[in-house]
This record gives sequence, structure tokens and C-alpha cells, in this order.
Amino acid sequence: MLSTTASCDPPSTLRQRRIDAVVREYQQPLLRYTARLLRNPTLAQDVVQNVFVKLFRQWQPRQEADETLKPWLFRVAHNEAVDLIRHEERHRSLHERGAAETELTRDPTHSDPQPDERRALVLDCLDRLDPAERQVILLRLQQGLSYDEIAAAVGRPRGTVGALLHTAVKKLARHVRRKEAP
Amino acid sequence: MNSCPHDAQLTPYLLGDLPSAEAEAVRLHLETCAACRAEAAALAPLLATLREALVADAETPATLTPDRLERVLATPPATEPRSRTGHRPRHALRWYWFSSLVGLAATLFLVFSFVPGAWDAVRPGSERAFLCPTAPRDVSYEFAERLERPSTEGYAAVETTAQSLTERSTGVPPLSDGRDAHAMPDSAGAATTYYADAEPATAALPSLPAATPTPPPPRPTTAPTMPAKPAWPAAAQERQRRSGVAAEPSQSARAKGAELRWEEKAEAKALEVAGSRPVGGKDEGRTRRGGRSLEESAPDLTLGVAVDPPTTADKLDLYSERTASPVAPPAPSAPELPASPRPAEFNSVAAVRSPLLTRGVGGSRSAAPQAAVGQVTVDADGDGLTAAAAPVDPFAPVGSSGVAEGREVFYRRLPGRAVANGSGVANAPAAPAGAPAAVSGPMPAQDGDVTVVINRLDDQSEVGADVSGKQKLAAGESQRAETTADEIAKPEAEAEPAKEALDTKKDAVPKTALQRKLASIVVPEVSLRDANLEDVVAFLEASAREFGAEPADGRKAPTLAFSKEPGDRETPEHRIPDVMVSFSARNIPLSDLVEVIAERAQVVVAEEDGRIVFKPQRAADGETIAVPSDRSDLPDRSDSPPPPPPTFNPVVETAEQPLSTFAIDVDTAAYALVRQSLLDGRLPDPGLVRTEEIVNAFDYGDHAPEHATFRIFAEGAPAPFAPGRHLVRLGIKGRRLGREEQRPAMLTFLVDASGSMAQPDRIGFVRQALAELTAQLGPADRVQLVSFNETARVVLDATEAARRDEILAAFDRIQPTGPTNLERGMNLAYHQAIGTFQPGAENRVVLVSDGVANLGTGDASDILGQIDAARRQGITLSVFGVGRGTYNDRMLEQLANRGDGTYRFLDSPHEIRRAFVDDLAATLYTIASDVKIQVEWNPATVVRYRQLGYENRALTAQQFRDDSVDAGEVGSGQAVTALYEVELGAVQAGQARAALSDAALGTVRVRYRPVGGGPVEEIAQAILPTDLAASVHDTRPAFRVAVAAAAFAERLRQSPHAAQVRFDAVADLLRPAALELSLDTRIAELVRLVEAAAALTR
Repeated sequence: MLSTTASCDPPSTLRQRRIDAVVREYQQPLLRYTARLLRNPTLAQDVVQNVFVKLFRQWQPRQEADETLKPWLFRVAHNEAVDLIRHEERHRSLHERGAAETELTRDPTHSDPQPDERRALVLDCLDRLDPAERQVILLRLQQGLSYDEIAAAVGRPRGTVGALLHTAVKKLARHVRRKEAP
Repeated sequence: MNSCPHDAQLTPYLLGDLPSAEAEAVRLHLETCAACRAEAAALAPLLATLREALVADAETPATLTPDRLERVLATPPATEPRSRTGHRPRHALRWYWFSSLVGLAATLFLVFSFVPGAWDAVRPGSERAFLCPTAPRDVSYEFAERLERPSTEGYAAVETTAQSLTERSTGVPPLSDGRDAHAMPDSAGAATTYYADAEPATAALPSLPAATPTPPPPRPTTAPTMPAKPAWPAAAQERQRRSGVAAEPSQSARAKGAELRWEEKAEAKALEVAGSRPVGGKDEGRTRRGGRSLEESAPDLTLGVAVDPPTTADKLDLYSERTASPVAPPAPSAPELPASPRPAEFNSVAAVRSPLLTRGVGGSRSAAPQAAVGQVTVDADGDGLTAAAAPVDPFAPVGSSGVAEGREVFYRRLPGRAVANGSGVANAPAAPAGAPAAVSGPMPAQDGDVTVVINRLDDQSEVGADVSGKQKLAAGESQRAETTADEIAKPEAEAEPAKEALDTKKDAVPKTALQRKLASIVVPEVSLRDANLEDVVAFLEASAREFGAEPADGRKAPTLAFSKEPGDRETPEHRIPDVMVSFSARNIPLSDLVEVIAERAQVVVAEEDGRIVFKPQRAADGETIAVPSDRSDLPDRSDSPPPPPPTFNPVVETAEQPLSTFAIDVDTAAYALVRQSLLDGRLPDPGLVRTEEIVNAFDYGDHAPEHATFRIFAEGAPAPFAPGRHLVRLGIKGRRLGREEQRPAMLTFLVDASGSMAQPDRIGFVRQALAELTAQLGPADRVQLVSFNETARVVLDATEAARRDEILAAFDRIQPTGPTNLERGMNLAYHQAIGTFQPGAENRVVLVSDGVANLGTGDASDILGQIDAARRQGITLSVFGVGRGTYNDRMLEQLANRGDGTYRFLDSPHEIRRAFVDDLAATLYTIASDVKIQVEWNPATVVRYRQLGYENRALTAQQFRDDSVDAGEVGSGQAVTALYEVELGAVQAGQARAALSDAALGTVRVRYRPVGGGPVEEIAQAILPTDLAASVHDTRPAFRVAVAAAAFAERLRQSPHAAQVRFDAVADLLRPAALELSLDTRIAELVRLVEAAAALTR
């Protein structure tokens, strides 16, 4: 098959390079995103790894990255994360209770050395939102996706993205208020 | 709790995500709704904190752990196509087809190159030096042959062969990007291995060609032709062609045959140019390859070029694939390779990859690297070892722009850094950063840059053969852009002469001994600074003596002698202009040096009595050059032609012609001119007043549509100044683009720096305007600056708007002096705009001038063709006029109309703010082009009608649906207003509402081409009797403003239909409306103008 490969690198090399490029490009955003979504950096590693494996299993030899890739990645990451959460449902509720307890007994001197308390508080409240709500907020404010991309990632019409975002932010505001004024 | 409908929009509003129209609505709502206000106040700080927190949230790992990464990278590939929602494999199948074809073609090609005589049957007798001097002659020649075919296989084969040729001759793998090699060490190696394998394999198949489905192409009938006479100064030829002198067959033949040649020959010249241009910091720290430099080895510079037919994305993909693009990095960080800080020696491969990146990731808002369709390889020392490469940009990257495929001459300005650092061409751009371009004398476009001009094969064939096997080096000329435009514009016209030229080809006369001699002398170093022609002649003679060796065969070569023809001293236009030439280069053949000098000194070169003579242009080729009799810095007030007398739309009987068709016009310059004139205390020249521009200068409060591109408004009332008639106002309002939709802008400012601009109301305004504009631009926008007086120069290369200080400093460097050669300025600006073309961006040339052109032809018609061609490729033109008195309004309006752009007149700082701050979106972002309006009046209800204004925009009824007819362009949120005076059938004014309750008055249709592709759209709306008010006093104040503005304009232009209009009456109508619309200062200003006009006519 000399003629087929005549004009370019062997497909495997090409593919390797593309995979490499995608990983380099997206691993950090995805990790940041899933870590925040799952509140667990280690689980985030699992999820991101699964996302990439999924992607490259489906990656056709000559396929290129296009504009649908980014929403797709975040969508798969979210699904993977939710799967993980469901899978560990029992652990999750346990974990949540534990988190609430930690919260109650939090000692300022031993707390996370965040320079800005309010930021920490807001992030904390963010963690209490549903994954779907967290997803929209993170996609917009952490990852800076456009509304079109968010719509593709969450599988909702573009017109509802603003409303979803607003609902999530309002809920977050409620949490923050409740915490600030005990 | 908060059930307000705007509630859901609050967060997007606070995040700045709403389109401007919606954001405006929310803002207004917040003023009235306390609940929303409270909520917004609560959410805003939260969002800010959240954003900060997420950005600062660094607790997550940045990379996958190594073991996980390993698993990802070891993922087995797909075994069978599986569909993936959202991200589907798009190119896989297509690619397989292409790669098979490519492979076949490549095989064939190689076979052919090893079979002696295989091409003899199809090959013409003429021998030509081609790209790769050390490759077997046959191979390189056939390389050229293949390249002539605009077919995928041919193209692909070329690419393959080019690579294998490179390898064969050097044993070095093809160019590869340093980064890729770093990341994937095996990639280049794999390619090398392949080629090493391929050659013996194919060579062993000599009988293959007969059996293959893609046989080598027969030689095209439009074979390259030889000029009938020695036509050595290519520059002079260009000039002749441009100036419209009857083309000789040989010259026309250069243009092309009917069939396009994709690949022709390349020429390049590395010019080290005296002076400097500001050099960004990015260039430093790159290495040369093997210490080899073009300075040492040019003129043996050899270029190999592979150009892809640029019109289809498929082919582009193919190319990208073949150049082994990795999966796209994100567009924002997409490597525009020349700027890479890495010591990347070769940027061609990666740069060619970039179209994939931008296409693939769809980074619409990011600064997209230019799409490259091919690759230029530079062989610096003639050993066949390619020393550098750079992408070739498509001249016409817009697929549907109507540019005939392949009619372009591709050319590409290689940024100095790309080649300078890739191959060590020149140390020319090594001036300290920020140094002003302080070279006096005319400077062509490419100061400090290397220019590659890829000419048609027939164009240069004899040159290549004659310059003793070396590639001839031609100065890159910005004028070629125009040539190209001409060729695109009238391809048919050229076909005939091309055929003739074919016949004369066999009789091609060889070059004269003098020219051969000239070409054989290589001057090691040229450094001229502010040299006048006498100095140049002396230098040339000295060089010829010093470096001109006698031929080895003992024949006596002619002695070179140069002289400057005195010209006819009596008439100034025959005089050789006293131009100072600054130029330096190394290892340049004398023939080229002569050419360059001729170009810069604006003379032509001729051969007379064994001497090389520099002649004034007019004497040589009949070109008319209007050298100003007075070259002082003072503007010549007589230059401004008187405007033509106005024409007036007639009253039309509806039964005879119910259709009224016109192109949209959103210009408002006439209003500014009228204002200026009235504030100066005189009535404006009637020819300057265009009713539609006066009317369009005001906002009539039409609401922008939210989704559709346009919305049509109709309203009317009995005409206060035409008893018995109604005035109908038709408003067409364009959509406002939201923040997300605004494309990045690539603005090429072309600033008139001639002496006539040296007045505070001109250059001062220009500086202010440009500063205002720059402040408004977004970070993704880019700006470059070209100024012109008698010559044109690039003051600032494309710079991100964020680097505002640099841009402002460049503006300040413009010092007006000298005459005005608008033609040169336009040439260079368009050359630059094409060179920096950004697909998907708003590519716009912004001309700021007083319109007083006194050099060049000074006639808009020459420039118009160029504007027209560029517009079809997506480069538009905005024109801003400045200056009082001498201002050439008509020409500037023509330019803007042709360039699909806006035309505004800047007569005050206030107007500058309006143009560049308030209306910036409308000025920069177009939403639709070729906007045409057709009003069909109903003969049953409307007896006769008359349109007010749009006289020079009228179209025939048939042209409305003829989408090839150019029409106006509308910017984001812009409104267009048309006014008609109609006479209703047998109905008195007051009864209009009752009597005409059913029958519509007519229908408005708007036809337009949405920006960003898509089919032409047409919308329609009926004008209903209910749109008419019973009295003008029942109408909205904005309508009354329209009525008054139209009456004012009609009266000023002395329309016979408005003879009875009194300015006082107009002012009376306007005053109450101005009070009601007190927020709009323009209306108050209109009142003052009407009062001024009333006072002047009393």
C-alpha cells in the first residue's frame, strides 16, 4: 500500500500526534472543571482519563479536531462525572454529611489557607449546588465557553442557557446568604 | 419571589453576555423595576467573587498523572466508524479517497521522472530552468508541468515530488516544524523512511503509466509563451499594462491562457533595504540553518512553490493532512509560527497547517492565522537543499466571492522575520525596535521584507532561461496586486491576445547582449542613500566596470554604459522627478538593480545605442503623470472639481411604472458638508446636497429587530409642504450585532500625509479620529497603518489593538508633506490588506483623506477597479473625508460606494466622536451587503409618486433581483430611511384613513446578502393605509424630523419640487419636534442649520 501512504505520515503517527495535541490542550481545563464539579481532584483524574480514552477510541484515523470537540469533551466529562457520582451514591451522601459536619466544626485557624475568605465561601457554596447547576456556572465562568458551546455541552437549547445560568447563580446566592448570616 | 420576565436575563446581563439590544432593554428595565435592581445589586458582587475564585482556584492538578496519560495515549484506534454525537468524523472518508489519488499520482510522477523520454511526446522544445537546480532537469521540468493543472492529483503529486526531490538531492528530511519534531521525534523520520522506500519501488515500475487511471496531463494548449521581444524590465511592463497603453501581444500573453496555471514559477528577491521598519521583539533569538545565509549566496536563490487551488475547503484539508497537521491546538494559541519564540528554523509546515487549525477549531473570534494554500521553499544556495519555506497565502481566500478560480497571480509578502530567521536571508529588519521608518525618498511596499512574487510561467519563461540558469530575481511590487485585480476583472478580454501571443511564441527574440551582460553581473553590495539619479548612474557604471568579468568563451561582451536621459526640460511633466533613491541589497544582479531603481525613481529603463537609459515615464510609455507644477506643501484649491449639478427624481405615474428600485445608501457625508457650509455662512453648493444623506443623518427611532436581519417600518402623513400629497417614510433598520457576533477587525488605515493635509482641521482630526477608534477596538482587533503622499509607505505593520501606545506613536509619526498620489496609497494599502487578510474577520481599509489627489492619475476610475476586486474578496473600504474647501467629495463618495463601505465627513471633534465612538459598530461591522430596496406602489390607491433623494442610487426594476448588481452595505444597527411623496387616488388628505381601509398603498421589498455567507434573502412588507396619519401633527416627532430634513435638503439643492418650501416653515415644523426629542442633539443642530439657511436666503 505504498500509494496510500505516499503523501503523508503513516496514520498512526498522525493520530498519535493529534491525540497528543488534544491531551496537551484540554487536560488542564478538563481537570479543573471536573475537579470543581466533583470536589475531588483524584476523581477528576479518573474522569478526565476516561474522557480521553473515550475520545480516542472513537477517533477516526483521519479525523480532525473541530469546533464541536470542546463542547463534546465537556459534555462527556460531565456525564462521566455524574456517572461516577451515581455510582458512588451512598458514598456521596455520606460524604456530603461529612462535609456539612466539617463545615460546622470548621475552625478558622485550621481552615484552608485561602487568602480570601469570601472566595472560599463562594466556592464552598458552589460545591453544594447540583452538578447540573455547577456545570453551567463552571462552563461559563471557569472555562469561558460561549453560550453556544455551553448549549452543546449541556444538551439544552441555546436560549435557555442564560436562564439556567441565572437560576444556578441565584441558588448560589441563596446559599451564600444563608452562610453569611447564620 | 421575583417573577419579572427580565429576571432570567439578569445574570447574563451582569456577565456582559447579552447582545447589545437586549442588554439595553435590561438596562432600561432596571431603571424601573426595583426588584430586579435589588437582585442585580446582590448578584453582581457574588459573580465577581465567583469569577475571581474560579480563576484563582489553583488547587487542581494541571496535568494528568503520568500513568493515566500513558493509558490515554495507548488507546487503541477505532476499529470501525462509530458515530459520536456532536463530534462526528467529517473528513475520514473523503480523506481516504484523496490519499489514494495522491498516492497514485505521486507514483506516476516518480515513474515518469525516471523513464527517459517519457515526457518527450508532450513536452515542448523550449528548455527552462526550473526550481531545483540540482535535481535532474527532466524531473524539475515535469514538476512544473504538473503544477499547471488545477487538479487535486496534480497538486498532490507536486507536493510529494517536491519533498522527494528535496530528499533525493540532500538526504535531509523534508522541512519540519521544530516543535513537532520535538514533540514527536519519529514523525519526520517516518516521512524520510517512506520516501527512501518509495523511489526504488516506483522506479521499478516503468510500464505503469499506461495502465493508470490518472495519466500525466497533456501539455495544455495554452502553453507558456515567450514574449515576442525582449521585455526585460518587468516593472516597466507592469506599468505599461497598468496604464492601459495598448498592450502588445507579448504583454498580453503574459497574462495567461484561458486555462489557469496553478503553478508557475516563483521568483524572489531578498532585498536588504536601507532604512528600517519597526521590528517587534518576536524575531529575536531564532537560528539560521547551518549558518547559511542568503546574503552570502543570493542570487542563486531558488524558489520552489507548491500552490494549492485555494477555492475549496476539501483541498485545503487535504493539504493540511498531508503536511501532517496534528490535532488542533486551540485557536487562541494556534501557532502563527513566525512569531514562535522557539528556534524554529522552518515554519512552512506548521504555517501551512494553520488553516486547519482555524477551520477546525472554529476560533471565530480569535485572530485567525492566515490561511495558507501552499508553500514556498527557498533554496538559498542552489544546492537543492531547501533552506527555508514559508506559506503562500491565497489571494482570494473567500470561496464564493466570485473570483474566478485560478485567475490570480499568487503572491505573498513574506514577513521579513519569516525568511530572515528561517534562512538567514538578511539582516535588514534589524533596526532597533520602534525606530521610525526614516528613509527618505520613495519606498516601495516591502521595506525590510522579502517579497515573493509568483508569476505565471509564460511571464517569466525567457527570463529564467536567460539569466544563465539562475533564477531571475524580481523586485516585489505592490502594483502586482492591481494587476491581479485587473486580470480578475476582465478575464475574457485577455484570452484573445493570449492566443495571438501563442502564435508569436516561436519567434521569440532572445535577449540582447546588453541585457545578458547586465544579468550576469552581480553586485556584491549596494548601498544607496538619498541618491539622485545621477549618483545612481555613476554607481551603476562603476559597478559594471568593477564586477563585470569578460565571458569565459572569449567573446567580447558589450560594455555597459548608463545614462540618464535629460528629457524635455521645457515641459515639467516630461522631467524626471528629482527623486532620492535609498536602497541597499547584497548579491544582486545588475539587471535587477536597474529595475528596482527604475521603479523607485519612477523612471523607465530603455536600451538605446548600446546604453541603458533611464527615461521619464511619459516619454517612454505614454503614461500620463500629472506632476504638479507646484510641489510646495500648500494645497492647491483649484484641484477640487465643481460638483455636478443635481438631478431630481421625477414624479412617476404609478400605472406606468409601479416599481421604484434603489440601492441602499447609509452615508451621511452630505449632511456634514452642508453643516460646514452653513456654519461658514454660505449656502452649500446644490450639487453637494444629497437628500438621502441628509435624511439618513438622523435617528428616527425605529427599533432594531432582534433576530431578523432587517425590519421594515412605514409611516406617513399628509405632506406639509406639498398640498394634496402624502409623505411616506420607509425605515429599514438593521439588527444590532451582539458582543459575541462581532468579528475581530483587521483595519488597514490609509492616511493621506500630503501637504494639503497639513492643517489643523485635517491631520489633527485624523490623529484624533484614529486615537478614538483605537481606543474602541477590542483586543482581538488588529490595526496597520499606511500613509501616502507622493509615495506610499507602511508606517505600522499589523499590530494588536491592545498595543495602543505603539499605534498612537505611529500615528504621530505621520508628517504631512508633498503631493498626493492616492493611487499609490491605495495600491499599497490594498496590498497590505491582502497580505494580512484574516478569514472570518472584518477586513477593512479605512481611508482618511481630503480627496485632493494630484499625482498618479488622480482619477477614481483606476482605483475603483481595484476596490471592486478587493471587495469581492471581502475587503471593504470606509472613507472618511476631512478638510474644508478643497475637499473632493465626489471622488471619495465613489470610492466608498464601490468598496461597500461607509463614507463620512469629519468636520468637527464632535463628528469624530460620533463616527468612531457612537457609531463604531455600524462603521465596522456590516450585517448585510448588496442591500436593495424595491417599492411597488399600488396603482389602485396611489396615482403617482416621487422619491426624495437616492438619485444616484437608482436601479432598474430588473436589477433588484439580479444578485450580481452591487448595492449598498448596512452596518450593525444602522437604519436607512427612504421618503416618497405620493398622491392618493381621489382621496383628500384628511380622509385617507377611512377611504383606504382595505387596499394597501404598496409593498416594500428589501433584498440583501447577509454577511457571513448564506443565500440572498428578500423580505417584504405592505404599506397599509393605517400607516398614514390624518395630519402631520398627529405623527411621531421623529417623522416630522424626517419631513423637515427632506424638505430642507430638497430646498437646498434647489429641487423644482420644493420651490415653494420656505426654510422658515421648515424650522417651524422642526422646533416642536426638537423639543420633544431634546435628547438628540443632532435635531437641535438641524434646527440651527435650517435657521441659518433661512437667514441666508432672506
